[in-house]
Amino acid sequence: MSKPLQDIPVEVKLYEKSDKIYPRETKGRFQRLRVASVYALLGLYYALPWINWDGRQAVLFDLPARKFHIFFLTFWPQDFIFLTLLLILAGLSLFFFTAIAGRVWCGYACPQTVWTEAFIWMERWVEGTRAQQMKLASAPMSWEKARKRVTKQVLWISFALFTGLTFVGYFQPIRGLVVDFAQFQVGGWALFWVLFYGFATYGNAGFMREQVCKYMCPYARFQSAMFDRDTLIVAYDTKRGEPRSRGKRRKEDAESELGDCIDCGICVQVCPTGIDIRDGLQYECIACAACIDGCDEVMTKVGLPTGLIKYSTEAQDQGAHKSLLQTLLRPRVIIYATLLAVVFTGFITALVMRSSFQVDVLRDRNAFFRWAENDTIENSFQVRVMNKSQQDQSYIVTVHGLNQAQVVWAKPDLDGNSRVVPAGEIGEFTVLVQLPENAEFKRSQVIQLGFEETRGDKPETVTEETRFWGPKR
Amino acid sequence: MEQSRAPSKQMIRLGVVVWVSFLWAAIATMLFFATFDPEELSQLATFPMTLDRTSGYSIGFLLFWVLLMLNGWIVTWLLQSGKPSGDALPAAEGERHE
Ligand code: SF4
Ligand code: SF4
Repeated sequence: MSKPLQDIPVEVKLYEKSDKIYPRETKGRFQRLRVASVYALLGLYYALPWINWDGRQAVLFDLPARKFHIFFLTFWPQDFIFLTLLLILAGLSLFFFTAIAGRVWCGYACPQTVWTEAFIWMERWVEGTRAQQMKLASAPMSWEKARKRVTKQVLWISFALFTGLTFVGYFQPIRGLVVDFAQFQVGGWALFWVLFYGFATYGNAGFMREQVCKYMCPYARFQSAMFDRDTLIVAYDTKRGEPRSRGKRRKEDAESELGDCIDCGICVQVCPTGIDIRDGLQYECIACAACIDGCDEVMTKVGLPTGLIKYSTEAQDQGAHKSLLQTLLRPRVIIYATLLAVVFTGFITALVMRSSFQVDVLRDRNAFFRWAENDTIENSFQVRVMNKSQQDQSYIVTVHGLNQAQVVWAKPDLDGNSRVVPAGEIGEFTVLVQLPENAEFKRSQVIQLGFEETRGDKPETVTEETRFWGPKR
Repeated sequence: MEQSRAPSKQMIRLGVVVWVSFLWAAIATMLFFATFDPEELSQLATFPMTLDRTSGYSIGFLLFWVLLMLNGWIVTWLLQSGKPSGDALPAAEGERHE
């Protein structure tokens, strides 16, 4: 797809002498889209833990209690399947969207891009435009320079710390956490993770930036496998642009056949990964469309039509004319879409059908059976009832599969034939199955214990299989 | 890349190993601790150990991460060091990115 690297002229060096990339600021529709996306995603990230629902934090991954709360849903480790499905869904969506729209993820939604963008804003706010930043970098140390550098670091570090704090706030109620943090009362693992996440944000978004994409990101290398000729890419219209020429030469050559590219170098200056899109598609390109915005602005200024650099596809570049529908309806997209739809439907179905409680039954390990009063044979079972719903619930128990058998709740000794478990809690009980000695039974047989909800409009039942043991006959 | 900002090979190697291990460690931690409860695991230890869940998850994650990093570091080291004397290595391995 792309040219081998060694064929690419290292023109970047022309514009890029220092060892840091200073992306030039852009205005334009794609930049506006990215700003909107950054606000939306970061806003979501920082605001979500502060939202309350039903008297508790709406989104809380309560690890110590091994419960995940997401608004009106509570997930338990027993809901493992949902985590698996979610991971598969995420993977499939990435395939699907990459096949259609290329690296939209990279350009607008990847945390790397989003936080880098935020860090760049802070940098610009303190140090000014690209040109000012470069000047500042090469200037000798002065009060002015020191002040700017310190301000920037303070901003960055506070923002990174706040990011880390928010991260931990997803796992531990954030209101208390923030108060504790302000009073230096946070310690142990919470502090460790605040610092860890904060440091990672600072390092990735403040320093490494495009290098994460270039050298470290598996997706950046892998995405070419999901590309085909109809995938949306950012491309330079070589036919229209070349031969490029600039300045005086452009005026002198005005008679001859010149391309539209005025070789101003804006597209290179705005590029956050420091590449030249005119050399063709390169894996470093994160499809952020900054060069489209940059070039469109220039084209407008010099009175030429925009779109010298634009979102395009390889097929389009080679002159194919396909409607959007034709582009979308290709086997790869259809297959990904089908898979995605199937897994998604499965996910939703499983979510809706999820039973509101779960029961674990464990045989008493101490004895197979014991003789109880009235010459009955008694088996004892440890029962854990997990109330996954948002309401307190009470349960009754029944036994099937063995004639004349009876079942009762024992420990904790309470009256009545039902047991209550508060919303979102686990109740531990003992259940006794009793059988008159004169009944029909084998030494060991399968029985079913049925547990039934007694409250609510649609009481559910859960049946657990276990074994009943009797004496040798 | 002949760009001046290009970090050295070893820095890139470090970055790649650390970052990729981190991603896998995160996934491994999720799957592992969704299946096993660290509190109960610690009771199964062959020596006396008390571990609350928060420490369990954290240590588990760090352990996964360290193991993956060590593995990655050794694998990359084996791949880039020691050229077998007899056979020619494919040219410019690792320089091609399609
Ligand atoms: S290359 Fe990787 S790290 Fe960079 S924006 Fe894309 S997905 Fe994110
Ligand atoms: S070449 Fe253009 S679209 Fe690609 S990363 Fe650079 S500025 Fe963004």
